[in-house]
Amino acid sequence: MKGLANEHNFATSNLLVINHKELMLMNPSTDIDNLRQRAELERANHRESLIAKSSADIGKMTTDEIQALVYELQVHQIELVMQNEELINTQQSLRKTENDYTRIYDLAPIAYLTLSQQGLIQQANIAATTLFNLSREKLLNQRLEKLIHADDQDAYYLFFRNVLKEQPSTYLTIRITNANQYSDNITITYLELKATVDKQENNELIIYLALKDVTAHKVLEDTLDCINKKQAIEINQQHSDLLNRQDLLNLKTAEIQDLHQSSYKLKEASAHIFNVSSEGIVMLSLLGVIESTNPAACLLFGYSEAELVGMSFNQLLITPLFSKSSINLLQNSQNNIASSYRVEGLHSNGCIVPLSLSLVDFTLEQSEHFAIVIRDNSLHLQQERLEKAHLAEIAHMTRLSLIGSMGSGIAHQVNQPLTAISNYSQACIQLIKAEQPDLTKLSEVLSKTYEQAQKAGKIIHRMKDLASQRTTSRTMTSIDTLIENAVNFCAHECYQDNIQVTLELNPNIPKIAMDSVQIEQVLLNLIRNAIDALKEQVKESDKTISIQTQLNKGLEVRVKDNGPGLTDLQKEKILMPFYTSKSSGMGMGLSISRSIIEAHGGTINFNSKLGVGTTFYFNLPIHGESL
Amino acid sequence: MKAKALAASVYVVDDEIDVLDSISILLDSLGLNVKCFTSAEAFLKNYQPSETECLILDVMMPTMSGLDLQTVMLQHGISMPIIFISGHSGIPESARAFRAGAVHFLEKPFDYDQLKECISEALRKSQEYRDDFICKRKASVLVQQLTDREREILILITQGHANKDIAKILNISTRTVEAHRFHIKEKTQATSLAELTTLVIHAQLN
Repeated sequence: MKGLANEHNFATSNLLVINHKELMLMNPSTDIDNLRQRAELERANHRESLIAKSSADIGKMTTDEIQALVYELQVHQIELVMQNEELINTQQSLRKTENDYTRIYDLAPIAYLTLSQQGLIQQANIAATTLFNLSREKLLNQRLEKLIHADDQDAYYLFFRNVLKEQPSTYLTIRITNANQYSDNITITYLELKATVDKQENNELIIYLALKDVTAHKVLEDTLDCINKKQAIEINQQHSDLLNRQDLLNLKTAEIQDLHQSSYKLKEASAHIFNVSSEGIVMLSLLGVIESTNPAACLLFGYSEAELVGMSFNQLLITPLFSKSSINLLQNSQNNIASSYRVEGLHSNGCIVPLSLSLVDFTLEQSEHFAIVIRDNSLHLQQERLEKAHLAEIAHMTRLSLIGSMGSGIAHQVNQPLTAISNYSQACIQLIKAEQPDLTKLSEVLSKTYEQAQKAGKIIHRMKDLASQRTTSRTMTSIDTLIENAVNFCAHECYQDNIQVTLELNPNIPKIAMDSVQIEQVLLNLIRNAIDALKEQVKESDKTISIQTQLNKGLEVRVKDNGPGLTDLQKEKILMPFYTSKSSGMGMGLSISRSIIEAHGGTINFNSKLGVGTTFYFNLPIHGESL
Repeated sequence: MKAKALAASVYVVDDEIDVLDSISILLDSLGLNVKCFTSAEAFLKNYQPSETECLILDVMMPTMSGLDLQTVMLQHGISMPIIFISGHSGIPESARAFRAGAVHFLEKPFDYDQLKECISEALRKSQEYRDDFICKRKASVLVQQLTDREREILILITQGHANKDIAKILNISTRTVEAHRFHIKEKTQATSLAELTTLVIHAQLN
């Protein structure tokens, strides 16, 4: 009995399945009648088997059994009625659900498309129409790929094929182009596709597509990408910058190491030089206290190093070098420019040693120091003295020859006053011889005679001075006096040759220690050279010699003529001894002038231009050494 | 001599003012009329001829030397005796000066007596110059009166040609020459051949 019930149940459930499927498509009002009819039809179809069965069984059944069967059937019937009711309920709720889903389908913000196996759009929700900007009518039966961007169609094709093989790729991102109906702009929309596939009763496949607009996302992604790329570039740049800097730093480090090494070597070398130098070197503090010394300095002053260190440098000198003011003076002067001094040092045994000092100040570890290089000048001075004596001799010789060459001029200069004196004295005799001598006139003529005698005497005196062989002595002399003397010597010659001599003497030039006779000799030489140059001048233009003095690195004297100028050969040789362009003369004038000026610590030079003239100029230091 | 000297002028040109002054005072004490100039140019500019005159001239002067001045004076027809004075000058210079008619060449300082003598001589020469000049002037006036033909014949006469020769040279008759000769003598008031010769020399017809 139990087995039968099971079969029944099975049959009922089968029936329900069919019914359920049909329910979906049937009109609910006609369902129950149709079901009854169909059930009866079924019963009629199965009657034979049923009867066959029952006829076989019923005969053998007892009343109780029949009653039980009837009961069973009645229960069954009730059961069926109940099932039917339940089915109707289910149908109603299904219908409601369907409506709900339809609404949701249409209202969903995500676009849904249903595609046929051929890829034709079967269904589309409102979101899809909005997305493609096409009406539902236009969308339906359209091929989806036609709406896809040409570049993404291959990807879509693969995706679709995979979907059909029921191996759907989870996602596909494609682009679609949709012409905006309001403008010509074609906007690109990025979509993310998700597909499921179902098989219909007719074995046709149906594809469900969900399309999500990811444009915003994509744009964001692109922006991020872009930013990332930029940042990457920046980072790369910074990285390479850093690398470069590192390289530079490495180089610098190497350089510093090199420098360090070379400075070490230098230090070693300096230390060595310091110790073996034949010239004394001492380091002083700002106040002139000796801080360190080398062996040569010890030898020079006759003290041990230990004795010298801590001593004031002034103690070693006759006249102190370091006063408050001299230090100030040094501090005002530029660094690293050595100042030179000639001083007299005091040896420990009491001897006076002539020294020349080179003094330089420097800053070491933020405090100021002085370094002094000391040279023993005894030998040097002796040699210098010899040289000077020698020079004096030669200068004297050339001076005599100069006077000789000027002899006729000087004689003429003396002859003029002599002539005047001679005439005046004769006139006096005539005046006295008169019957009534005119004494006023006589006195007048006599004083004129006296003046002329004085004049002649001065010329002779000047010549005697120039010719004298004095031991060289330097006295404080005004250059103006010397220039005037020299010009006077040549005055007659200039006058005869119609040469104008102009003097432009700077009144601010102090007296300078110099050998006046020798400097006058130089001036005479230069003026006479100028006169000779102007004598050669053929054209009768203005002949002028201008003599200027100016303060320019000491005293500068310029003797300028507007003569014919020097040729290149003359320029080359003019300062050399025994070179002369004159028929008479030794060619020693300029050479000895140069020696004299150089012995005075000055220089002599010239400029010359053919056809314009020649300028000889020499300068003498104003703070000459008092030797 | 003194009276003669008073009428005379002595010009002194020297660039050395002291020398110039001393000469001036000395000559003044001798009673001479002295005119001083410090340069040759100043002399040329201010020179006024007087009856007798002489020039004491310094050789060495800057722009125009004494010798230059002498040349310029000859070019301008200023003829007067020149006493050159110089401090020192060589033989060539003095030779040149003498060739050009210098009277003397004194070296400074000069001997007083010598100077005095030189001046006297110079002034005497100046007088001679003057007399000579007057003669010449007269002669040239006389010669001016002659016709060209007469002057031509006069020159030939003074050259010692006889009338016949002259007629031959000029291809004219002797009579014509004789007629010319007569006119010449009449016009020049000459009485002898010697007088005619002097006239030609003075008139510098050669």
